[in-house]
Amino acid sequence: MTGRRSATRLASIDLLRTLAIVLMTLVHFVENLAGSFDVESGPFIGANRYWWMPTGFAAPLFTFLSGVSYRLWADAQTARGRDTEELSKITVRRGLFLILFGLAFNVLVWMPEDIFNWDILTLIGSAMLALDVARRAPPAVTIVACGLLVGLAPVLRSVADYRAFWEAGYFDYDFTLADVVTGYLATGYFPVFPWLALPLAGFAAAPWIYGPAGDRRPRAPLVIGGLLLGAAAVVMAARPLVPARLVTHDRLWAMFPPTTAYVLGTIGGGILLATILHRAIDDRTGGPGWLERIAGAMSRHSLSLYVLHHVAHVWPLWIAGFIAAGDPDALWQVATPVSTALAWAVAFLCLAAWLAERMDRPGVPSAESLLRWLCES
Amino acid sequence: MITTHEKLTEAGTIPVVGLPPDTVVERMPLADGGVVEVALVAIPAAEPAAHDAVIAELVGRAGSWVTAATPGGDPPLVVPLYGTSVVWSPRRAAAVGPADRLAAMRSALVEFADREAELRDIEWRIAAALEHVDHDAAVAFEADEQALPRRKELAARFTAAISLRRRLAVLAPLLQRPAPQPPTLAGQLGERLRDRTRVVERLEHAVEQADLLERVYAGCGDRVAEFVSSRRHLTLEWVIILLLAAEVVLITIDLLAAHTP
Repeated sequence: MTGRRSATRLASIDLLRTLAIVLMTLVHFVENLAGSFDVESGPFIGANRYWWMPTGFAAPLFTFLSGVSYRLWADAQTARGRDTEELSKITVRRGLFLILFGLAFNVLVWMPEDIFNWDILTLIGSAMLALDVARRAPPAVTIVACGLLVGLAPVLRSVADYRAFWEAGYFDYDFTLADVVTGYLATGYFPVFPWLALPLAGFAAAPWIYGPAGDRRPRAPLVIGGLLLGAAAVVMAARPLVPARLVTHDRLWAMFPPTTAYVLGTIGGGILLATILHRAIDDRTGGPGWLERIAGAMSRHSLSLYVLHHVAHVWPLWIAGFIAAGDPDALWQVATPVSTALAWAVAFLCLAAWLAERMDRPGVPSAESLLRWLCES
Repeated sequence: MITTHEKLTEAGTIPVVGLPPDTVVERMPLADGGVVEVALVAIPAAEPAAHDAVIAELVGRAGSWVTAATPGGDPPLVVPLYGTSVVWSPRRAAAVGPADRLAAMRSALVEFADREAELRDIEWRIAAALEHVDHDAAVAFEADEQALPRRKELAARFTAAISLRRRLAVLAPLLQRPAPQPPTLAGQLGERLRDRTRVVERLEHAVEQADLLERVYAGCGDRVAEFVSSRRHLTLEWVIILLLAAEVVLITIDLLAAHTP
């Protein structure tokens, strides 16, 4: 990715990451505040409605873009002559920071007993460590690794008895080394198998997506994205042929656990979406519009916004539940009607856009400034 | 007597300003893609006392005609030999001599112009290729990931270096061939032109420079091939490591699942 375009910020990536933030906010506000509200009489907004399916793209998009951004950043740093050992040091520090930050987040935002639920931050932290290895390995190795991660995931889930770890839609583990390790590898919310395939796929696909501009643009990313979507469809169609002991979920397309079709489809969709947006937006001349400006700020502070959006709706939920019924979980998913939860989500997004631009100012603390201070100084 | 004159040649109309009307101008293509125009100027009959003055005037006019081809360029070379004179520049040359000697002078001029043009073209290409050497020399020592996209470019430069080396190998015996014995006017004229234009020394420099190019780009080819080969091995090793890691994970999960109460 030489002469690569990575030296400047790409608006298409900012827009995609902002889209992921919007979807993430909607899904968490609505499902956590209103997922089971009035479930007997009204339409349930939850994972079982197909029209709610786009919200399932938030986490794959985040993780896919983490690989893309890392590749563009590493290539730009290499082009500037930065030492590869120094890049490794920064990457490993970032990875460890995100893992620790993720564990702290689990304790502070969820509950101390949820420390090892293996959320997306610990996944992205682990991905940083893996990406540092991928950066030094031949590209084919990264692709083989993606294949192994996706292909072995159902086998590992079957061997580990995935269903035994999940209770009423939640990852419910014992505080034992076996459960913690198994959760990290195969049965947690975002286990390494297969979720690590998404950042690695983003890392491998970035040179194709953000390759040379102009008339000689390769069709490879469009073909590969299309093939992966096709493969997802084939996997869904071939479900009857899969041995029953490997089937850990009734649905063909699901996030928990991430079915093979879901992983292949979201990687393919991510590649296609990133390619199309890049070609439609990044070559435009002229300054950024208001949307690109806001998206840029939100994208730059996605880590802070990830934490804040949880704090903004989960803490009030715990406090209100504790005050109202003496149980922090009392209002979980039944706090408000769906319409109210949606309104809160939109309000939070407006506040987040305003706040992200303020966090760009020098001296304003954010999770990103802490990460840079710890990892890049 | 000498007037402005235009003479039609095979290649078209060539203005032969200031040369006698019976001057013959020939145009021929050269190795570097350009053409050279050769004017054959016969010395008219004159009184013995005025003979030298007529020759001097013709040589002066021939010089002006030759210089007009490249205004502002180097002055043309003037080679007097046995009552004849040659005014030479890479794009135009004039042979001034008795009419019966012009054919021999023409053949010497044509042969020399052709070889000198070939050498000049090689020199120009070498100079252009040498500009890349500093940048490419690092790859001749060690190739890395960044060198791979440049593989075709480096291969093309190696091919070009070999081509230059081949052309020099063909040209060298032609330029270094001894003059025929007994001496002839054409042979002597060719010798003089070779000496005055330093073609043998230029040839040696060109050979050294082409050798340098060949060494650098052969090294680049070797290093890139080694890198590609080692990367193939590395990929295979990594794949084996990944498979082993996957097996370890599988066994670990299996053992953990088996021993979980």
